[in-house]
Amino acid sequence: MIPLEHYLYLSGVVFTLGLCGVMMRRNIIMMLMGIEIMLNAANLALVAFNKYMPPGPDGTVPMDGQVFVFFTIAIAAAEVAVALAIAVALFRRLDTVNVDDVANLRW
Amino acid sequence: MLLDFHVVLVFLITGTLMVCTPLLLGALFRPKNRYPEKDMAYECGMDPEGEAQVRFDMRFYTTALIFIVFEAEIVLMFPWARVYASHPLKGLALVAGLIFGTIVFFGLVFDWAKGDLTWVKTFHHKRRVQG
Amino acid sequence: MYDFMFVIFATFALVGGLLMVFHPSIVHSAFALVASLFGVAGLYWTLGADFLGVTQVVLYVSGVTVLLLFAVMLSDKTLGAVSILRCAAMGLVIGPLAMALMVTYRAIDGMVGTEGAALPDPAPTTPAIGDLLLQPEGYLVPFEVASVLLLIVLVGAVTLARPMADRQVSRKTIADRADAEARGDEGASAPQGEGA
Repeated sequence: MIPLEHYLYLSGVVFTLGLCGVMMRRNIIMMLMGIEIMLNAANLALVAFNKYMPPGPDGTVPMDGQVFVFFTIAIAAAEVAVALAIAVALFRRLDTVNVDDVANLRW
Repeated sequence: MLLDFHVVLVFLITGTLMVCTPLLLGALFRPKNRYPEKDMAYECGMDPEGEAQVRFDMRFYTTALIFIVFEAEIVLMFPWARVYASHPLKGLALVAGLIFGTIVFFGLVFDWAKGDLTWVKTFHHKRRVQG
Repeated sequence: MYDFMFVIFATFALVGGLLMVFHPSIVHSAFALVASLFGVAGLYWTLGADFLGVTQVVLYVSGVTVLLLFAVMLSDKTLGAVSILRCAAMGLVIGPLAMALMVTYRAIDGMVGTEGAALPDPAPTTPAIGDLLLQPEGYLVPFEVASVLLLIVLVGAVTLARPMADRQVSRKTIADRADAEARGDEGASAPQGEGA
């Protein structure tokens, strides 16, 4: 059986990778991909904690971690849909997907 | 045991092997004779014009967007459907599912009314007047 | 078997993530993201969360990636050059943060222990999730609010994605304009196909 530690370290490494992606790239779509990776790392930690949680007093297996992740996945899909719509609208209006080009709020 | 998902792993490995083995065999045995004309994209014997990677129409994105929202709806309603038949509080389960479905359905009605579901938006009315 | 699956899927997740961050082409990055997300789905399966694994494959690996690829095809595929200064700043921020994350995880792991490791054989989780979703003191309200979120996405994102010309003009005006074109301008100047 794999100890909880392994899942947590893997989640930490994947989260760091996603953060690297967000900070290194200036393309808004690449940054979104980094955010997706970070979300997945957090989800992985949640599911791992859920699995290794001791059962309740009446022997029920806890499921809350899985329900959290279930909602997170569904909401992340919605979030990506909106964020990419913004990115595409940005590209068609200003002809750029570089976030440094849209640093000021009004133009 | 593992909820039988090791079958998925076996499937993955077999699938990867079935793709990679013929490619590897082909790379070992085929004659290697490359020249620029052969590397060109084949376009019915003509010289290819322009780029292969054209920018797509926005309507594809709108369709994909509506698809993914309803995919999320299906995923959210799946556990509800799984327990519906055996749920002790049938009325509550029915009302919860109905409210959920109705609220999302309003979004579809909105898009429909706004004309985002019609593919040929501009030419639609013209055709009706003429014909 | 668990160890083998963990190693395979963890490799998927890590190599996919690495390729995604460092590959120069954005399309390749998107496909590397697919591998990484699939690896995470496999890790859910090793944790006994069968329904979540399938959800991950259905919503992330197919849905979100399709949207990402469409967005890539709709915009330009050039990536800006990465500046040395930014990389240095990144190292300064991310290095300590990663260390802190590891230390925190170590501490949490010490607190939680691994009592749950000896749980009985995993059962299908879908009914348990469904029961929690339908409990008023459980997750019934978040479940209903999620539908409102989906409604907002259907209205908002589609409005954002609408072609620029149509955004202010209502559907009726477009219809009127098309009718007028068909009636009046037929003889004078045949309207050529609209560009956009």
